Amino acid sequence: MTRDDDLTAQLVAVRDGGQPALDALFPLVYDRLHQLARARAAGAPIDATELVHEAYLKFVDSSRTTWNDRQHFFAVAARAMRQIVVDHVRRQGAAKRGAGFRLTTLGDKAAASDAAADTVLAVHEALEALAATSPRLVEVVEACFFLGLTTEEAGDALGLSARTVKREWQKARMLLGALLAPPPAP
Amino acid sequence: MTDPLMARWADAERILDAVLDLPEAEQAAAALARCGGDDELAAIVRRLLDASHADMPAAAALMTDALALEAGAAGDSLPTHVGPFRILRELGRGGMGRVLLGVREGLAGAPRVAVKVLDRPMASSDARRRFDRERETLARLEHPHIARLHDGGVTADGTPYLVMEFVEGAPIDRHCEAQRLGVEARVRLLRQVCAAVEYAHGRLVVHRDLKPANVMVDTHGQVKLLDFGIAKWLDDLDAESPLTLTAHRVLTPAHAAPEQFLGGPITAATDVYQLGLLCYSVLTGARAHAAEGASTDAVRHAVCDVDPPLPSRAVLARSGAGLDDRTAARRLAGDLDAIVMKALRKDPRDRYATVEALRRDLDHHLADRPVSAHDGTRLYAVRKYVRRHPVPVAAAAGVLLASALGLVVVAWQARATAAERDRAVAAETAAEAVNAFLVNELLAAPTPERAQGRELTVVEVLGQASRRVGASLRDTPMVQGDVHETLARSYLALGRYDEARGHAREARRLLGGGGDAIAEFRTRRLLVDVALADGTVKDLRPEADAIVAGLRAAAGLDHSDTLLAEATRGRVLETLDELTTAETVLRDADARASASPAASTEARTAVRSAYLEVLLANGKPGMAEPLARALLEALTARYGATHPSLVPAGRLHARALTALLEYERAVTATDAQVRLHEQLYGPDHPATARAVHDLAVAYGRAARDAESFTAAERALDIRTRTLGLEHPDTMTSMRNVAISLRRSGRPAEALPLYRLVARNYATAFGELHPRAIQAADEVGSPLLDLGRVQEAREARRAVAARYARAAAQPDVDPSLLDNYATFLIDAEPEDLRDPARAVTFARRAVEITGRTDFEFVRTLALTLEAAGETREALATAREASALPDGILSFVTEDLIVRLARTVEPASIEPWLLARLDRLRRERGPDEYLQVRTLDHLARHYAATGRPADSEARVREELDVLARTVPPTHFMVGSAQGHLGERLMDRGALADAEPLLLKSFEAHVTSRRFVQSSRVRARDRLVRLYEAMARPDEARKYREYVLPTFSDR
Repeated sequence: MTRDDDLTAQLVAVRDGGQPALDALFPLVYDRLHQLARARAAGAPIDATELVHEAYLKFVDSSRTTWNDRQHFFAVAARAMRQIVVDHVRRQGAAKRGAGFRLTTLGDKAAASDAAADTVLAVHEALEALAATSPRLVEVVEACFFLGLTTEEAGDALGLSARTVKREWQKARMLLGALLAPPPAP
Repeated sequence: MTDPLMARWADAERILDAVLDLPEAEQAAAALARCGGDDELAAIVRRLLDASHADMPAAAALMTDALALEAGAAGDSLPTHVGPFRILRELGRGGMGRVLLGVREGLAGAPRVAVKVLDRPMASSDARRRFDRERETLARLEHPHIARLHDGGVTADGTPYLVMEFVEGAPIDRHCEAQRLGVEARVRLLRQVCAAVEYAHGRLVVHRDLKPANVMVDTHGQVKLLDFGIAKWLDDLDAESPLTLTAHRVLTPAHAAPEQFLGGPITAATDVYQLGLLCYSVLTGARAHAAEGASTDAVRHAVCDVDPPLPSRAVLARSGAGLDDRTAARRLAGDLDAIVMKALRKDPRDRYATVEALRRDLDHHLADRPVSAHDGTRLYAVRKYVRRHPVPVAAAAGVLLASALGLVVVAWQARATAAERDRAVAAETAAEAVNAFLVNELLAAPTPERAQGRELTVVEVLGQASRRVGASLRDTPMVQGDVHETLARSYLALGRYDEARGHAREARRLLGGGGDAIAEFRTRRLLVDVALADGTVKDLRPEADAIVAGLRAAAGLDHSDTLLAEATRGRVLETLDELTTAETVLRDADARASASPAASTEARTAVRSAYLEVLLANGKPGMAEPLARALLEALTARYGATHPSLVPAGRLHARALTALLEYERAVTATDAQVRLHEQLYGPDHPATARAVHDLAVAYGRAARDAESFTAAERALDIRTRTLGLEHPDTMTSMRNVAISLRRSGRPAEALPLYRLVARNYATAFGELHPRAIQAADEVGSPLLDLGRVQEAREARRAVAARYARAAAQPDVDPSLLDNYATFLIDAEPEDLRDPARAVTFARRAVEITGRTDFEFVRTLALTLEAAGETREALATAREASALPDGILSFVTEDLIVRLARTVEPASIEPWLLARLDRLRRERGPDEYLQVRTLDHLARHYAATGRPADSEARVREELDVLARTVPPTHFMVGSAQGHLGERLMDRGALADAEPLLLKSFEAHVTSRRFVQSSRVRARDRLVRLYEAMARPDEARKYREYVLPTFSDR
């Protein structure tokens, strides 16, 4: 598999380009991660963290990049991973409502993941609402929840101290736990 | 989102931030206190704090499941299995299909493999058969730098797939950048790539899609080429389909050669081009042509019409490099620029003719030898030369470069032209062959011997045969192997070593491992023969030893193949200058070959010839001459007088004659050899060059310097064109030209050649090799001729230092110590001499060899003489003379007589008589060497007042001469002079007159005499005619102007 010069170049550009460059990087990372996930054998379990590491090794020319670039990549990858899963869940939902033939082939596994799908969508919607007011918390959720990074890894990826990540993740778990728990008795 | 939690999150978060540092038990109270009576907020905060104890959904598991559903999404779904292989994941995809990582199902610990699933179904059963056949060919490519093809097949739905070695690592360009490799390390990797491609070409497989992605570097830093032969094979598949219009398609436009766009034939030259592109991107980190992503038309234009910038420029132009750009640019400028650009020429005929040639240039570059990419560039030759000789050349100014180097440069250009011709043959790869091949037709093709000067025809026939053999004899590998062996021998005889090597390797592959040990060793010997012929001898010794040992075990000591292998090993040893060992093993083999009725004429001839070579190299022509004569007679009896097999035997005989001082006869014999060679091989053949070289030596010995120079020049010219400048034989010729230039009184022109020879020997053999040091020593001679004494002294001081360093090596060759000792007593200027030190080293050489080597013992005697240890010198010289080879040395004889004269005159007569007796006993009554001893005796008697004894010995001497040499031999004239003098002394003037006249005539016509004896011969006549009272004749001779010949 060949490395991706565009992606590498865009990643390098983020160093000086700030948010607009990060935004431009997003679709590239999304595309590569998606491609990687789809290239796995059907139904095979995939670890999200491993997938992103693989993507980095595969597509990024590490000789041209720095540690900071790597952080950017993981941050963007976390966001992309969230998007991938959400898109998938939405398609899945649409399929269930429509023809739904693909899921039926997966049998029990599909049923088991229904709950997971609901959770994913709920978390996603919560993060949407928080994007403007608590961007840091959103990033931490993406890294820890969607990407499955440990708090230390997430700290590395986001350029935050482990302590900060822990605190943000603690708050996020409270928020998400509260939202996903059955509504309180009046 | 209707949950109030979200609406009040900002407030809630602020409170959480304030309290979460507190102990958990206090958090709730502190938080509620901060709500300031806002009940809604208080409720939300409580909910959040409670949730912190609730289970968070198992995030990782969730994601894993979600992604599992994503995997294998519509349209791209990975098969779970391909053939017997379970698929793990996709590795990549390319123009031909997808590459998957797989593992053989149900096989514990099976290695992971790359499964290449091609994106087109097999069109016909015919295609299927060809697929299977091609797969077998590719599976036979076994090379450390080629990823193995393990398996392949067709799935149930007709999709072909190939199973290959899975290489863990990175593509070569990424590897180089990631490891930040320097230019040299990159060149070494590229060398590995070339070696792999070279190997495959030898098996008639072209790659055609060489690009960084197909050139992996594994975790051990070793190159592994992927997808060999696949591109060609895909074309064959496409050609099956009537819908495919193009004969071959361009798989990767950015890596395609011009002919791939233009529809020209795809040959080995295509791989050369793609290797050029690979070198370009690996060395510069930039692509030679338009970036990936450009349209095919744009790439086509760039590839076919635009020359890429020189690599050294490209490296400076790019950004973000892993190389230190400026250093890299300097390293690339010159050789590497030239090498890469030559590989990238648009016209395949302008590129390197073979990958081997490209690889060799990379090797040359690494060794700082001239690279052929610059062929024909006179300026380049001079520049390279100057770089190697930074100081002296500048001092020597223009004269030498213009004249002496002109020779070399012209030869270079001529060689380039010869290479053009070769390309016509090499360019068409044998893989294209389709016609049926008739074994008989091939075997009936003219052998080089039969061609009798029609070399081109032979080459054509061999070329056709080469192209056909692979395709037509596929099912009979043993026959195919034999044919390849025959082809290799034929090419070897034609001096086409690259082709010879390719066929020899193929023969070894086909014949080796088939249970026939003898055939296997025979083909291995063939490879050694090829290496010997083209001078790549470095690591040949172990292989030669192994072959001999193997054949002795498999076939027995007297088997022809064993004997042939011993001959080859002897030649390897000789080439490596291990002369003593070579002589011992060949003497033994020669005895066995002569005694064995089973030995073929070929084997006997080969062993005897190798033995003769070594004897001559060891300075033992007396032993060699009768053996050579016997061989010549045996061959003439068997094959007739004009057979090619007489060539080497006759040459050896001529050389033996030369070494025996029979110079004029040797010239005649050698001249005949040259003409025979020209008839058999043509004027531009290495073998002819060898004959011409011998002729130059013969002329030189006969003091015919002008003729010698002409011949030496011609030999150098042929060798430079056919063997290349680096070949040891070319160096020998260059040294010859240098020597004859110097002897012709042209030291200024000789000097640069001497230097070039010294440098080349050092490069080829190493700084401390005896030959290299000797060559460096010789540079002093023309300097002294030119009166540049100080420079000569400096040069020879450096030589002395090199000798000292070499002598300090733990396993120093005794011959080096011997050379060093000789240097220390002979060196000019004389202030460099150190006889005492010379004795030390000469003694060491003698001791290392157990006092058995005549040469070393004699050198010890000479050093002792120089050190003034006359008595020990005399004893040592006698010891030398008593050794088996010592009897042949008249230099030793002269030394003993000389030494004895001062310290032990009484011993002279008994010693000479004993020697005479031994000579006749050991060498027969007709041994020429007794002439010298008789001469010594005669002089000794004359000097000690025994004229009658003296006269008797001179008569005896003339008798021996009459039996052993022609009447014109210079020694006859010399002995006649002696006898005439004796007769004159006792008043027999009338008897003396004819003898003295003949002697005088010999002295003025032969160049063999030193001027002082010419004067003596004249003075004897003057004295005679004065004594006979014939003043007119006395005056005539007194006023006779003696001819002068250049003195040695």
